Amino acid sequence: MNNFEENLRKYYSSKNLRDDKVDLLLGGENSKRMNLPGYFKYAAAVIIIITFTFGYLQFTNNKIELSVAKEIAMNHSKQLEVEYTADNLNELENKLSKLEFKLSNIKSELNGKYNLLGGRYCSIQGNLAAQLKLKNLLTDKIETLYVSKLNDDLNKLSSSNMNMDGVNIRVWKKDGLLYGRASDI
Amino acid sequence: MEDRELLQSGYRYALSLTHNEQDAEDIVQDVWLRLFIKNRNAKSKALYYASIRNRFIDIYRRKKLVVMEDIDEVSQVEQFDNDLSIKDIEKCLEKLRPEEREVLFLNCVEEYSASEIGEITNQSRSTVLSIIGRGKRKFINTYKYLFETNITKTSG
Repeated sequence: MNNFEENLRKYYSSKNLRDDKVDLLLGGENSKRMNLPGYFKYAAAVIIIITFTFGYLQFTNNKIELSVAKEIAMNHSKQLEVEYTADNLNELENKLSKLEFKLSNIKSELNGKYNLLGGRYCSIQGNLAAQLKLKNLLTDKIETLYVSKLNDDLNKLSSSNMNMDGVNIRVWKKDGLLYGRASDI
Repeated sequence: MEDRELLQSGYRYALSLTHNEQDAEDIVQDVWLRLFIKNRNAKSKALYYASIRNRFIDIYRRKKLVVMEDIDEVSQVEQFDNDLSIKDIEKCLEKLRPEEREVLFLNCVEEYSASEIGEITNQSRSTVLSIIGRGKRKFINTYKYLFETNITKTSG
């Protein structure tokens, strides 16, 4: 191997997807399969227990709401382009066919208040979700609506409304779905 | 291959195409969610890489940033013995075209042969060899221009 190849290897091995993103995408499934030496496992277990104990005591009341809101605010702020343009939910439902719920069932959330511009797949707490780009007909502002099927963790969440990083986030549950709407303040 | 390792290698492959960490992250997230969220036990590196490549082409065609150019002749690439910093490597890679960074990554980092890269990128083996040669020459020339010229100027 010459130095050219070594330079490239060094460069790319220094680049990693952020840990929080990896954990988000793997949804915790990988932690069961990590093949670490024994003492690392024990050390990791102790650190995890301590972290979770303190974390639980400090954030027991609203940690799920906070982490969902933070994730929604972060995604909204990225202002990613829609993957599929569509002006109605039936059309978008055909394009986002892997969702575990029917987008056409959420029409009441949009009717008369928003114009649909399009959507893309995203995730909330590792759970597959739809990210819809909407135009608020009252304010003319672009807002983002996130919809995901409720799982055990998301079902613990209470409805909330908060401001975070310059974004207003409203989160609520309805008919087995989690909704999160984000708009710039 | 562990999922975490697969995810990271795909990220590096996406980075070789985009040379932009945020874009690479977005592509990997899109592809991973689409391919594997429902089929957690059926992960294929070939499918994952092909999907990353397709997603990159979709996005960059839309932005009209991918411009194909004629492949020049294969020619000898001079020996390169310098050990560069990450920042310097990044600057040199920035001057390369996405298809050049892609084949160099697949060849030098993933250690795929020219024929294997040809299968992944849908090109002939000789075309892949041309791109590898051209990419290496551009990298080395960029290094000389950016750094050796600078050293000469500074010392002179």
